[in-house]
Amino acid sequence: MELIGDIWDLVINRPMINSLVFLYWVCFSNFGLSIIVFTVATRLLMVPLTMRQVKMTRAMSELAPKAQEISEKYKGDSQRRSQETMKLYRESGVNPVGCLGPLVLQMPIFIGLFWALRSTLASTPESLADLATKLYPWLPGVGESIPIDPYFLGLNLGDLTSASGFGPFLALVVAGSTWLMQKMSTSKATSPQQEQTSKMLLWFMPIMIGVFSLQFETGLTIYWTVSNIVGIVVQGFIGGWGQVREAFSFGSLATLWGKPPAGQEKDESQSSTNKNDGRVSDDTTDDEGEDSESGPRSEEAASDEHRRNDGQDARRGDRVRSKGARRRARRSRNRRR
Amino acid sequence: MNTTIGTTTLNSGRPSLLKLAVASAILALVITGCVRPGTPQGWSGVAIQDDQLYVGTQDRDVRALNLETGETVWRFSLQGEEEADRAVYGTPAISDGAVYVGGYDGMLYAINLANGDDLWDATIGDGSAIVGGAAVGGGLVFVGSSDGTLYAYGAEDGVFQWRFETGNSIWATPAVANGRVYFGSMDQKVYALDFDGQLIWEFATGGAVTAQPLVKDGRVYIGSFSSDFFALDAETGNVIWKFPDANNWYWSRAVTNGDVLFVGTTDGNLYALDSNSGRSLWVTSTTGSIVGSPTLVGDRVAVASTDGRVRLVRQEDGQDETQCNVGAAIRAPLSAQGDFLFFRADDRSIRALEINVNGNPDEVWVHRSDQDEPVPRDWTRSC
Repeated sequence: MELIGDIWDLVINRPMINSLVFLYWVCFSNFGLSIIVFTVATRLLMVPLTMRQVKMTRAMSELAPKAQEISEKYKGDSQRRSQETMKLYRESGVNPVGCLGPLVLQMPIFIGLFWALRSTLASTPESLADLATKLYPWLPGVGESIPIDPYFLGLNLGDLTSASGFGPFLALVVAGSTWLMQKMSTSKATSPQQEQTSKMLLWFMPIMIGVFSLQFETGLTIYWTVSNIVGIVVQGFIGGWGQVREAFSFGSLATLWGKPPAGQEKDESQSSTNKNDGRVSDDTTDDEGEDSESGPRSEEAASDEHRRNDGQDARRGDRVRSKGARRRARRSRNRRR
Repeated sequence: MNTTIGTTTLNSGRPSLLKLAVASAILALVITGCVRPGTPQGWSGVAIQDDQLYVGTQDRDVRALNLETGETVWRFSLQGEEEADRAVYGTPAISDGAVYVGGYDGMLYAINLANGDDLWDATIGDGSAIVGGAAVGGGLVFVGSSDGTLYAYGAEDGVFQWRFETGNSIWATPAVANGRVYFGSMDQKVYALDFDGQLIWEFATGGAVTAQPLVKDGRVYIGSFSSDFFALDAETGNVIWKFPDANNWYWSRAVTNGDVLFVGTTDGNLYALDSNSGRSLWVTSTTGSIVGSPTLVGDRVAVASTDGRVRLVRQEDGQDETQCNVGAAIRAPLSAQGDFLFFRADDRSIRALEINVNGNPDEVWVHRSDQDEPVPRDWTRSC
């Protein structure tokens, strides 16, 4: 156990503490700024992983219908279902665990930053004395930077978020940005059960994080918010901005009151049609909402799919399309022109 | 973090991944959310007068102990509003029948030396934490506060006299000598004031100062977080010499035998410096961090570190080391009287060691501040 602690200290904790102190020295003795720069830097370093994650996600999206078929086929044999699903992924060169890369990396960063913030801001003499043992003596600016000034925009970054007058506001910001982040990265479910889980996660995580953030140091809440914002921007560049527009559209906001967005109504009707047919159609993964969520598709490709959908819709003739969906499809066509 | 949770789950169709991701997120939140910052424990030094010692304990009080037996003579409880803040970091100052103690609870206490009665107490400034000890001189008691101000109070009546503001917290114990008060501040400067609170000189060290200055023979010796140790002219504040070769912070006061200065750094090194030139004579290492001041016992210098050991080496060459492992970190300064060493360790104990002729320490008594019976009779000696 002690060995794990030493490795953690050597690989995560000390580098983080020293990075923060060095950035504090570089950023004009502004600790808030150093947290922001640190966050942006770590998020940017993870861009290759994020891209890989999106690529994997996209590949898995494409495999979803086949996975669904397997799921239907081996309904009563979970072991076989699992084997066949894994075989499908293996044959297609997809590693589901690969999607966890950024998560796996962010966990130690988050926990490490939590401890690093506490160590660096050193609220008691004991913690300041301990900080001395964690700093690299060769790092420029260390001696003159300590003690760290914890104030940023009038907030004490070492205080609990709940202790700040802006606490509830910060909690809302972190929850809101988490929700948007979640919304952008959540792909369409391939089954009602997954859809339910997806909906639950979409709200559960932001609320939980918002509530927890009140019990974190303000500096950590700022890290989280900035991390989400950078994540949203990165995700937007890689996967497109459709989901951001979608998130702020009336239809999406309507889900706040329990009413499904326009596009979703269509999806549900489509899904029920498929169920009635007793078949799984590839169309279930092709809708407007997913264009921007499921992977780095170009706007043009997205429009093509819209057009294709439009054609299919017209042929089916029995599908009810909302005004919102039609408006978005029109916008797509106009952009293409 | 959230990105991946959603994406992975929904596309892979593997509930185990979902569970893993959500469980990891919740675990991270719980681990971080449930851990509160450590409460201050204090590392009070031991003040000795006659046959008693006076020390702030980890059990939120100040105690007078019998020097020979370690038995409690009296006990004075700190009175700050927040119980968690009732800790003492500075060494109590003794003057004219009173013990002066600054508390992390932001209060300055004057305690009757004979019976532990409260002579007076005062909330200092806005009640910010007091980390350094008090110093007494010219009928005044001086104490620095985390609000960045040095305060002067009447030693007898506790009436506020004046204050002097600096640019950051004052965690250093002031030193009084030659009608002046010398102290360091986290604003990286060392100050010299007269007893009226007028600035005589200030000196920028390049790093925060938590060490108490050592004033001797017209010089002020002090180290800072810049890893530099200075000898300053006590009259002018001019640098006489500077020792720049340490690799970490000087947290505590140096001690001297007249010719040689002994001072520890937070990377666990004890330096012996020529007091005239600042030249390094020898250096010895510990495996912990040196936060408390060393002390001199006979021909040896004793130093404690966070590795839980008290080490004794010859003043002359830093050799012939003997040690006592008490098994708990020691951040408090060491105090000596005759052949005895007294100190507080981080395991709620106050200990006495006798240094015998060959330099080996023997534990004489242990006082545990969390036990009613103060001196266990059947303890296993650390050395």
